[in-house]
Amino acid sequence: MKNFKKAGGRIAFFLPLAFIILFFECVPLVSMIVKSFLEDSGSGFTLNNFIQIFQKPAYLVAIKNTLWITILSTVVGLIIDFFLAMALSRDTGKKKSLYLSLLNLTSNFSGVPLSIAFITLLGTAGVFVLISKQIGFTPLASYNLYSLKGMFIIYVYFQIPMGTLLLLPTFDKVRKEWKEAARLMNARSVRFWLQIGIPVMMPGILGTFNMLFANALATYATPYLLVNNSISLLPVKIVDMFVGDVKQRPGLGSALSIVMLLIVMIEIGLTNLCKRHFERGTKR
Amino acid sequence: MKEHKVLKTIWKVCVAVFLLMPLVVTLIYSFSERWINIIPEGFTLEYYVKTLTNTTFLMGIVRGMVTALIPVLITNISVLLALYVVIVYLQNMEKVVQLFCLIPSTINGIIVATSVLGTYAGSDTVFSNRIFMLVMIYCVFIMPVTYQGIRNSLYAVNTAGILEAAEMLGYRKFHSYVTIVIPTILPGLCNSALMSFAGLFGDFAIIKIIAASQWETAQAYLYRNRSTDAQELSAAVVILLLITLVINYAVHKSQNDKKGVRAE
Repeated sequence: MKNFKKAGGRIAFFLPLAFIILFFECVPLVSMIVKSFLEDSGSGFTLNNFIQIFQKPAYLVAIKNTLWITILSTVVGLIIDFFLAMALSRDTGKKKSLYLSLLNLTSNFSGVPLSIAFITLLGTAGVFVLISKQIGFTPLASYNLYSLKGMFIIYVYFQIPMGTLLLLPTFDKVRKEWKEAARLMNARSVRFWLQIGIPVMMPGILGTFNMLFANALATYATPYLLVNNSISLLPVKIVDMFVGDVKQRPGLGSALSIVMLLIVMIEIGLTNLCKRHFERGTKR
Repeated sequence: MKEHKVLKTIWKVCVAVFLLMPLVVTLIYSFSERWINIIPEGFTLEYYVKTLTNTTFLMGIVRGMVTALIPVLITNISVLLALYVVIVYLQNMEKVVQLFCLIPSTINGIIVATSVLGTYAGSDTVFSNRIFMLVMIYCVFIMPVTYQGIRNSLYAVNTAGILEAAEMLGYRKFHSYVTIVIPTILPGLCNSALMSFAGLFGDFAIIKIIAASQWETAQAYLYRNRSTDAQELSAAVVILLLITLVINYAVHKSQNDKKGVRAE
């Protein structure tokens, strides 16, 4: 009896966490998967929701747009972050900590405030647009923030601080002595990074890639505020299915959520394959 | 080598300018009477007075803070309790707890929120209360960061060893967990808690899905008034940024304290 009581006490410590995880993680997830295979009327198994997604151009375009902006902003962001982290990695003292504060501040500058700041900057009556009109600088004067390509700049903006902060520690893995040794053997800087530096850092870089990808994929506030429904993106479409002003279709929304989940899982799987390749390289 | 240094500096300056541009322009915009020419005209604090006396906006900030603070507390306490049992009694449960705590980092906030809404909306239980739903979704949302932070700190201080030593001296394990281990890891805990707090305070997607009309946070307020006076909006953005700056400073300070403790 005493033992039983003790075990009960231990389980009680688990209860709060178990409650949250069971009722707000597992049950909803399972119910979402089930719902995606049901008619919205609630009866009968169907694959209709998925068939619709892959047949109707509206959803295909949403998937395509999402993939385009996510992948491109991740790659561009990662390249900018890589060189920035490289430039920062050898810095020390006050200069570096000042730059880090800037990165920390801007990494929290996201969502609606960030979009509003960019509207002030580049929107139809944005400061830069007005200035460019006055001085006759056409490329900026006709900048269209309310489009997929226009929004791209905001996506890159929020990828920079996050990616750089994540990449900085991986630069510590590349030791100064290696660089010196390579230099002694007449390897140029570019060759050192391509053949030694980047492969050593690859696990860290791929991890950062994952984070940036997930970050861009789940971005909702920016497209919702700027283009809403004129350009369809997966997150906006999913939310519309549940809380939209038009007819709500939870079945289709669940199916779209699963598509988004699959995109993340495929991406993580691919980077893991890559990672394993490079990790094998370091062990030899 | 010198050439590289110049290139690096140029790159750093370019990125810094890009990062600062929206901040600086918003700041100047919020202080100027109008900006339709090349240079802004007039200096005014009118928009700050307007924004700071706007009770809807201020209430929005308070609401945002409340719904960011409560989930942080709940998640931290529940993870601390669970990891206590895991470390002391059930080491083999570690992997299971880890799996479930890290799942939300793969399924993003939008999927968690829509799936919870789809499951519990309309069911006449306490679960269908929107604010309860919101708090619980936030708990799930910050679970990975909280779990990682707490787990790393608990292992860094060798919790199992401390508890055993305390037990030999006659203290109950849970008592020493609360009075010795948790105070020791508090700086690290504060760090991840503040990060989660900042993330939740800046959230718009989840609040929009769950409770934008019943529980208007500052972010939701900004969205609803997106087409009103641009200067007033800019002032509001600057105020929100200042709050973020304060949180950031607190994170920084808690990190430095930790380093200071270690140095001692």
